[in-house]
Amino acid sequence: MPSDEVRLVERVLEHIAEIGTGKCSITDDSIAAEADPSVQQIFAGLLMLHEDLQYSQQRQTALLEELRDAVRARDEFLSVASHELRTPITTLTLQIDGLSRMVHDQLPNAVPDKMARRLDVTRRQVDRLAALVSTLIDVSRITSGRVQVARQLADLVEVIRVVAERFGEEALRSGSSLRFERPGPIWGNFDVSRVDQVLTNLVANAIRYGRGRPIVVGAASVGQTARFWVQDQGIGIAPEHQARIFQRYERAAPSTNYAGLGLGLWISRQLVEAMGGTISVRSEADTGSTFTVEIPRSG
Amino acid sequence: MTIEARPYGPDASPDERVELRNRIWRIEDRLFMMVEVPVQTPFTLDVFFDRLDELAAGLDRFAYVVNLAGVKRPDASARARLRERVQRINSRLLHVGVVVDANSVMRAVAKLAAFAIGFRSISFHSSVDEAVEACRRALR
Repeated sequence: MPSDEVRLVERVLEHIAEIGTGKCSITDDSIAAEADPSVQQIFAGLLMLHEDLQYSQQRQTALLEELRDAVRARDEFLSVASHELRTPITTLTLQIDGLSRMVHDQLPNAVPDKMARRLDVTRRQVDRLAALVSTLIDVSRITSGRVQVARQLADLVEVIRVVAERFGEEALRSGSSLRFERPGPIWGNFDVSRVDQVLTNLVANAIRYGRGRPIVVGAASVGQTARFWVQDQGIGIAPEHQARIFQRYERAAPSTNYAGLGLGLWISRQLVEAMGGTISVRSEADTGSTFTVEIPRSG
Repeated sequence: MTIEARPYGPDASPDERVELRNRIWRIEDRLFMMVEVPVQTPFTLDVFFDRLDELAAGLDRFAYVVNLAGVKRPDASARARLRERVQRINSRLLHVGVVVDANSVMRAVAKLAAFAIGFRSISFHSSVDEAVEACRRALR
């Protein structure tokens, strides 16, 4: 026959095991039925431990739900605000283009420099605003799971050429040369607009952080995979920052020196992953970075 | 007006709030008395400890007697609030004298709160006089 002490230890252990599974059969009545006040305290303690654990779990669940609601509200606001901003920006762009045309029509050979410069600056700022709004719309689409991949038969090299050409002037303005090491055609089923968007972001970053040094864009076909990369010789990214630069709102460069929302690489990663691919970086601080994207040729 | 054996919340009337506050008073320098309500809730605990904060304002150390006679076992939310409120005054709290009748469950409640906060200067008594004396000794 086990002693009372041994029996008590066994009962306590049984209850601890039960509490570990999220249940407890101890009640206020069963505590009151215990003859020994010390035993009553032990069982009351166990019951309260169980209740405290349950309460803590409920609080955590409620807090998590509050957090999710807050994130949902933020994403909804982002979505509505970005879409609402798009309409006036489009109108603004059209008006500026119209104004520019009107000035050139009325003064075909003598548009004052100052006016031309102002129109140009205004147009570039509106473009910048449009790009920011477009980024917000992308974030909103990605967070709500509305990214759709529309593949079509295309030559990746041609897609890259178009982007590289588009950035030629901007690269020159920043002092960088932009060279596309062009291989033979790389045919595949690609989402041309998404590839364009990812490459646009990578080249824009290379110009922004490239310190006016040469930028090289390359592409290659590796079996069923298409690979393209953007290499700069700019400020680079320290090893400790490389893992987080693909996260939302993360930036390796100080925001005081470089503009941006910290969303471009996150969007790029989401888009590349939606296309079934990967994006990676190889970089050294003060030496430069190479961003490499690999996507399947047949989606 | 008497406080009933029911949970009081933010919907308590102004008279009830006054009655709750009146259950805490100063016995003497640095020593206070707290007569708990039958059903402790986060609301009643806030009223009690807000009043204690007022009374102990400016004191670097003090003690209090809490009378738990006739008090039911508080639920988890009340216990969480109790821990939170005592934690806030813990660094200035020298001793708590707990008056309990034969209720060993309330003894366990008080001990668990004290252990959770890391506050060990607590004693249990069957009368208010004994508890007051224990606090006086601690304050000397």
